[in-house]
Amino acid sequence: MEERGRASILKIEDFLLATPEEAMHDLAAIQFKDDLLGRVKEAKVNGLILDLGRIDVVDSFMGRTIGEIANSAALLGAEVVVIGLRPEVAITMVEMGISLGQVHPLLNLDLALEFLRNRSRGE
Amino acid sequence: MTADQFDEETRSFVAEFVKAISSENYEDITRPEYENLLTMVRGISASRAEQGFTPTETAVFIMTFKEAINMYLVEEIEDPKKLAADVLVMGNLIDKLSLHTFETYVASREKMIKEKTMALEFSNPMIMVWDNLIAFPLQGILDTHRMAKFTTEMLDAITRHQARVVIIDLTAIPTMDTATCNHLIQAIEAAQLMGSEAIITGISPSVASIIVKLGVDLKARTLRELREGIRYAFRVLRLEVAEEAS
Repeated sequence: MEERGRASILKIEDFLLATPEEAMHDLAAIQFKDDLLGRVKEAKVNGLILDLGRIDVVDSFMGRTIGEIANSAALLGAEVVVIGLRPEVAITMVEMGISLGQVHPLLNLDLALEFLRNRSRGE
Repeated sequence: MTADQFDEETRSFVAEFVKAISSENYEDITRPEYENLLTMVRGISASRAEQGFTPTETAVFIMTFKEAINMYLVEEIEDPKKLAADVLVMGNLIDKLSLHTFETYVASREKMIKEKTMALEFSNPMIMVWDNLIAFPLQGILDTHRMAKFTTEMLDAITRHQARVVIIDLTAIPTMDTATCNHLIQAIEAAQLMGSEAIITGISPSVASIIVKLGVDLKARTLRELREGIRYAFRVLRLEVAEEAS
């Protein structure tokens, strides 16, 4: 059986909005990353918004995968922002020393869209 | 406590004691004739606990009566057998009363401790300074327990109010230990992971040197006072404060 984390990926304006439905184990996270990067390349978007609002655990592998998504997406010409990280997830990540790499964290979708619009206009 | 107060306490204790034993019940202090005396003993015990007396000092106050009563009995009773029996009965009664002070002492101390913890529980007020801007003026002695509680409160407030900027004001924090300071830094990092910018204001020299000693990068903007923090936050939020043209 194929290991695949459930996630919805929507296109909004010039960007992609990816919402994983639940916490992913390692294989599912890799699958998610590959799918997502494929979509970034295919859709020729300038930005990628990762909504982690439904995730209740981010382990070190997931954290690293998000960092990898960000770095790879940057090579494909898309900037990555993370939104909706839950308080308990944030504090656990800090306590465990998990970083998201060069990802820009933002509070909500409005701010993410504003941020990415400004970036793609070169501000 | 003054000598007058002490005198007064002793006098009323003796008065109530005499009233109670005139019922000729020398054993069961749970009976109604002892109610007034016990209320008094509890009052003495509670006020001693508040004044910082030790439980022994409080119990000894009651126990000294044993000696006084014995001296009185020796004078009054000539039959040695009856004297021995009465000394024993009175001794037991006083012991029971002094044990009772112990219980009350512990109970009132526990109440005090509970009240103090309650004060800790409610001591992180949040100020909604502006839309998307919240501030936490922290106060008093911070320990890791309070800091952990503050962290969850702050992160929840960030989600609830969609706070893009959160100001943590340390003006009223004279000092903190390194573990607490570490916790503060974690709280700041967690806020940033959620997409909120944390600003620290009003750091005292002592706290500053602890942060330096820890050798950590605070990763947050630190400003001298709350006012400057708010001014900076307005800039982040692209708000402008202007004097009205007259």
